[in-house]
Amino acid sequence: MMNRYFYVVVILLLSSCGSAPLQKTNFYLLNQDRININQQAQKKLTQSPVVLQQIRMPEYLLQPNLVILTAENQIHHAQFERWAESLQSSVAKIIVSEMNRLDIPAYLHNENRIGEQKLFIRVDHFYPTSDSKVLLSGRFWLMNNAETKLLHEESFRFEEKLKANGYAQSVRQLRDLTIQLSQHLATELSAMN
Amino acid sequence: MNTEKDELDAEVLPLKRISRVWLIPLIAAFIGGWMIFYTYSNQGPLITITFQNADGMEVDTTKIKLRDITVGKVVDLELTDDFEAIIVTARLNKNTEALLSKSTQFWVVKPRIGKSGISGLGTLLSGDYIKLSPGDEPERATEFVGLDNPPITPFGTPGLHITLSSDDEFAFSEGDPIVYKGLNVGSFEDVYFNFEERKVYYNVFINAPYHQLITTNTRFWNVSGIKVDMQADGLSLQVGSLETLLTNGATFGVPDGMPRGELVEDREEFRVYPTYEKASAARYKSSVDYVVLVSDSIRGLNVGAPVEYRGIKLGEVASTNIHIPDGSRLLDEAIKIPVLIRLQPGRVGLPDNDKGRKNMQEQNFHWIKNGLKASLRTGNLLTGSLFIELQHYENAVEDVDKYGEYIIIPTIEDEFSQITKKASVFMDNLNRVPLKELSAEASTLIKELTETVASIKGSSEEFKQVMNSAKKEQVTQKIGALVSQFTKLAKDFSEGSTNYSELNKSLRSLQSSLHELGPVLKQINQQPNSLIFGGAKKDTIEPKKYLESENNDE
Repeated sequence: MMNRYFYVVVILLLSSCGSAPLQKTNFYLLNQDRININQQAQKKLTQSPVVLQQIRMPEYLLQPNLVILTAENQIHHAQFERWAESLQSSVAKIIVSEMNRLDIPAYLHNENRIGEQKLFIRVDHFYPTSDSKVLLSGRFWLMNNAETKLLHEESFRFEEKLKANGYAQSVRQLRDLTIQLSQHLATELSAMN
Repeated sequence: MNTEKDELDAEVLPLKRISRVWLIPLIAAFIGGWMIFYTYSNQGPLITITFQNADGMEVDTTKIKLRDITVGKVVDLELTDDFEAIIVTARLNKNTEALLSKSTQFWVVKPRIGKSGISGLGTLLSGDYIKLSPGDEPERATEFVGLDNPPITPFGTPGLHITLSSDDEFAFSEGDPIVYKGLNVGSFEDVYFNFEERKVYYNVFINAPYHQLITTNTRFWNVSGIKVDMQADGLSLQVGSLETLLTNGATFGVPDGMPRGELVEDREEFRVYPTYEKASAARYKSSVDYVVLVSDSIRGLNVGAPVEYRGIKLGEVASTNIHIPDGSRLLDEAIKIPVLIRLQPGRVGLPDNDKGRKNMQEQNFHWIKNGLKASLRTGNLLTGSLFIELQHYENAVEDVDKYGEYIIIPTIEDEFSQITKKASVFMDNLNRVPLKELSAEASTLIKELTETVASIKGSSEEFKQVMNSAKKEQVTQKIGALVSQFTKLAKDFSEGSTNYSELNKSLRSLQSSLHELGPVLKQINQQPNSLIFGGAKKDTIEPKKYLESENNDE
């Protein structure tokens, strides 16, 4: 009889311990619905279409956890802060939609569109830092369709101060940096044509 | 005063004896006479020697020497009456009369270069002199004829004088050496040709002690130059010595198998043979002659070629193509050449005399009747020389035939001739074969065969092609079926297809599940007891708002 009570007490204790609430995981979306890509089809194309190739990123950005630069050469993977969509896909979509919005006909590489130019982008840094900034840097280059001639090559770096705490704000401002990159790309492409 | 006058008058007395002064001239006369007597009593004989010239001679200077001892001196030189020679008058020493034999020889010793080498070099310093070689004849002489050249064998040289004779075609000259086993043991002194006998005689001197090698069985033969002898039994090269290589020379020896014999006396006569073989063969005194009638060519069969009986030399060929005594015989044996062979009983151990001859004749007669035959054999392939071989065969003969006075030994063709004959018969038979017709038929047959083979080949090629095409069709069909299946499969899973979208969906759901499991797994990995004792702590690192004041302070 005493043994039964002992076992019940142990189970109750364990269940109480085990019933502690778990940490909630947050999923973030970089790409915001700012413009309908298909609207580009209604406008008359004045620029040479450009096909954005798959964006190249370092490995630590290809995994779903958000990262933050904690020291000069140290990053931290947030345990419960994750991307809902891969950064490669979301960054590409933002760039294409923004360029389309700025009357630069751009397509993703997997849309089976044939363009006169190919745009290659390599993202080296895309994260918030421990000194309350967000950073987007890398390099892009433009080649002809046959990839035999380099038309333009340039490095880029965009930085903003964090306006609020938290990863959500970081995501918002990283989006802004991406849009800035898109606008810069549109400007350069327009100048070339 | 008268006393002094009386005292001055000398008393003259007559001489009672001869004055002692006369002793001086007497003594002088005596001494002079004694000297004259002494001179004449000690004076040797005066001789005259006639030379062709007086080269190197001077009066009262040129000496006469014997064994390098001065035995005289030249006292006068004068020309002969006909002015063709020089008379040398020489005075020899006392008691040298015994040297003045009729055969005593004189010659002038001066530097000479001859076959035997250089001599007389000492006279370059001492001057020429006349050398004396005493003779052995008892008769004395005082007038001599000088030799132009020194004698080959000086008088008194120990050794043996012999006489050699030769009727062969070689000749020796004075001074030619006699060699024995490479040593120079003698020389030819004199050469004389006998017109009646047509033989050349040589006086030869053999020096001591080698003269003891000359016996009754000694044979002499020529070793001049290099002797190359190609006979049936092979090629032989003979050289005597270096001297005989350049000049003529002879050697001697006792042939193998002969007894040594007894020593010979002076002036014994020997014959000089051309070769050792002939000298050796000359030992056999007895021989039996036979005739062999050869129907083949005797080119290469030389006189002296061996006659062998089962490899043992029995004799030699004495003559080829001898003249037949009976003229009618020539018509019977017009195609056969008679060859005279000489068999020597001494070669096979029979007595070398009439008894041995008789034994051999009886033996051979018996053998001939029972099949003994002769055949020509090739002795040397290089030279083509032949020899005669006697061998027993099974074919016996009834009678033994004769050729003149000689018994005929039947002949048989040798193996080479038989082979040649058979080859000739074979070639004749081959010639009779109608080769032209055979070759025409053979070519026709070959042509038909070729066509048949070509048609077979063509058929097999077509068959191969048929098989190949059939195989190809099968393979092609299979490949086609495989490709269509693969296409269908790829189509089922290509983009836009139902399977593709379902596969994508499944992968996405798997990916999202893994994403959701990620933190849990991470938590368990970091804190395994969190499953029971509580969840993970809240992440403390997160971005912070940018504060101007904090950054300015920094």
